[in-house]
Order: sequence, then C-alpha cells, then structure tokens
Amino acid sequence: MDELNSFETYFKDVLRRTLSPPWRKKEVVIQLDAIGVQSVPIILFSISFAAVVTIMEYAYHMKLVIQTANMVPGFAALLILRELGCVITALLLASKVGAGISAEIGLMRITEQIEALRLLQIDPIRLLVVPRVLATILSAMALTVLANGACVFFSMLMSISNLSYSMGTYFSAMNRFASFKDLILSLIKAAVFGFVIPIVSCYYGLSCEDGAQGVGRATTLAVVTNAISIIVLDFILTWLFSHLY
Amino acid sequence: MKVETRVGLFFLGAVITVVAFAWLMGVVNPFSNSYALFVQYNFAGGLEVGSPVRVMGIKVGKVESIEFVPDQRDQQGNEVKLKIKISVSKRAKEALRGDSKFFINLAGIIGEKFLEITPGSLSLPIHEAGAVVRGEDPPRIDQLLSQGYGLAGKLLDIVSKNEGSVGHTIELLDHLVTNLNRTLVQLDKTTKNVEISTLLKTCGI
Repeated sequence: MDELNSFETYFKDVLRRTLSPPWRKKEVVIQLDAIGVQSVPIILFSISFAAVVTIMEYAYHMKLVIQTANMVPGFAALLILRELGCVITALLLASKVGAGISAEIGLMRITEQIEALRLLQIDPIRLLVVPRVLATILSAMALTVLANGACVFFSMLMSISNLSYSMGTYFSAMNRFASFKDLILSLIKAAVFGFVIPIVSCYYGLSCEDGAQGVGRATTLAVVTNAISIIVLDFILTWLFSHLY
Repeated sequence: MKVETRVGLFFLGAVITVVAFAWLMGVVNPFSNSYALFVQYNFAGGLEVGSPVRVMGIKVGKVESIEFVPDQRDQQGNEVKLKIKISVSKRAKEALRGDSKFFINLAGIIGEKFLEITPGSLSLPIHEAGAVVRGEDPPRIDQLLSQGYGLAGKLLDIVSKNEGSVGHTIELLDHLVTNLNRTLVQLDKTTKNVEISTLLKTCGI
C-alpha cells in the first residue's frame, strides 16, 4: 500500500485522522468492548499475583536490610502506582490486543478486504486504525486504574494476612510515600502505551505478507515491537516525570 | 447485556476507582473533619508537603503546602520567610491554644520529619481556623557543626602557639593540687587533736 511505504507516512496519516472527526463512534464502542471490557479478567487476575509477589519480595528485602517490615506498604504502593499497574497492563494489552489487531487486519489484508474498502472509497485507516487507537488509549487508561485498584487491594490483603497490618495502618503507611500525583502520571503513561500498541499492531497488520506464515510473522513482530516500545517508552517517561518530583 | 452497557459499566468502575484513590490519598474528602492553620518558620529542617502533624504524638493532620513569603513578619515584627499550611483534625482543636509550641521533629528509622504541636493551657484561647502562628525553628545541625569546627580550630591554635606556657601552667597546677592535698591532711590531723583535747577536758583529766 502506498501509505505504508514508510512508517513515518503511516504514523502521520493515523495522527491526522485520529485528531480530526468523524470518529465512527459505534466502531469505537465495539472496540472498547473488545479491547477494554474483555481484557478486564486477564489483567486483574495477573496483576493480583504481581501485587502479592511485590509484598512478599519487599517484606523479604526490608527484613534482610533494616530488620523491619514497617515501610513495605508504602514502598509497594509507590512501585504499584508508578510502574507495576501501567506497565504490566500495557504488556498484557500488547500481547492480547496487539496480537489480535495485527492478526485481524493482516488477514483482511491478505484476503484483499482492505483493497475492497479502498475500491468502495472507504479509508481503511479511518475505518480500522482510528477506532482501535481511540479505544486502546481509553481502555489502557481505564484498565490501568482498575489494575492499580486491584493491585493495592491484594497487596493490602497480603499485608494484613502476612505482616499483621490492619487496613488503617496499611493505608497510613501507603499515604506516607504514594500520592495521587503518582496515579495521574501512571495514567499519562497508560495513554502513551495505549496510543503505541494499536499503531504498531495495525502497521504490521496492514503491511502483512501473503499466507498464514505472513500473518504469523506480522503478529509476532507486532507483539515484540510493542513490548520493546513499552519498555523503552516507560524509561523515557519515567525519566521525564522524575523532573516533576 | 448490550455492548454500550458493558462499556459504560467498565468506565464507571474506573471512575469509581479513581475517586476511591483520591479519597484514600486525601485529595478529595467530602466528609472532611479538619481545619487549616498557618505556621511561620525561618528554617523548615527538611519538612515536606505531606509530612504528618502530631499532637502529643498522635497523628492529627499533615502539611498541605510550603510557601516562600519574603516580606512576611511575625507578631513581634521579625522577618519570617516560610509559611507552612497544615491541616489539623477538629478532634485536636481543643488542645491547640495560645501557648502551644510548633516543633519540627524527627522520627522513624529513615528519619521522617514531622510537625509536633504541644498542647496549650486551658486558660488561653483556641487557635481558630486560618490562624497564623510562629513555629519553633529547629536547630541548625550544620551551623552547630560549623561553629564547633571553628572553636576546635581556635583552641588548637592557642595550644600550639603557647605550648611552653601551657606545659608550665599544668606543672604549676600539679604542684598546687599536691600542696592542697598536704594541707588537707594537716587540717585533718589538727581537727583530730582538737577533738581529743576536748574529750580529755570533758573527762576532767
């Protein structure tokens, strides 16, 4: 496809169409359901275990170094809100949604459905990419909030059962270090990750080569590129946000 | 369930979670039971926004903001550069009176700073919401160390410059102490002799 000659051209096209109406609201809602709602169970399930492991590890480290587990909820909440909640959510979204988008659009490409859309004077980027970009940004933000909530809840349960904390002392220790600003910054990170995942996935889908092997390759490349992009972007954003503290 | 309903519930859940976080972290509190006081300092000693405020060791609030006010003056007319806004629970209001002191203290294994308020006398008026009070500036450890170093340097300088006379003075002091010991021994003997003579006289010998 002409517009896929370079990623730069494709990116500019997506950005221009994402920022200008019409946005095909019905398609956005369908994608919000597929990307956001249907990802809730897998993300909450995974993040709960991550929260429990965080508390266990912090308790071990604290007892090893300063012989007390007093600061565990504070440090754990800080890590959850600043990193764990948004990064794990984004990585899970990349593997679940990113692979799905790439395979779906890749299959449309090799069965010439994209070409058919173009013949019908329908812009494939506006129809396929923009709703997924909008839905993934919104879903990533909402899922990050829910993941943070679940993470804090399960780390609290773990602290109560293993470290003899009460609910009040847990939140008091949490508030000593974590602040609402951490949640806001994690939402900004989530929005950036939510913007990158569909753009990368759709790009590999739209430039998919023929055959089942081509779809498989596009899917793998989408997941790998998304994972690397998320980790690198997380570093860049964390470095930028470090100037705000 | 319709797609729109599912998506709506999904975002409703997210919004409720954000509100819950805001409430837990003290950003939004519709049932707020605290009031604000302003404490003036010239040195905050590491106190930060969010640091706890305690009355008699019990946490009753936190530091809301720290502001630089170059032209601020206290009630005596002295310049005070910092204005710290604190929120204090209303349950501690009765304890905060005219002679309450506002200290900056250190607690915990990681050296967490907090603002400690001592309870005031019942005869004095309560600090009302928005009152501006003068805090007790914490000691400047860095200044004390710097002054200590200066003093130690001067002492060493004096000793090294007057090494001979200092040694002579110490020798004289040693003699003085030795003589004083001898005098005390003689005095003790004399006292015993006087006591014996008094006893003999009493006995009529």
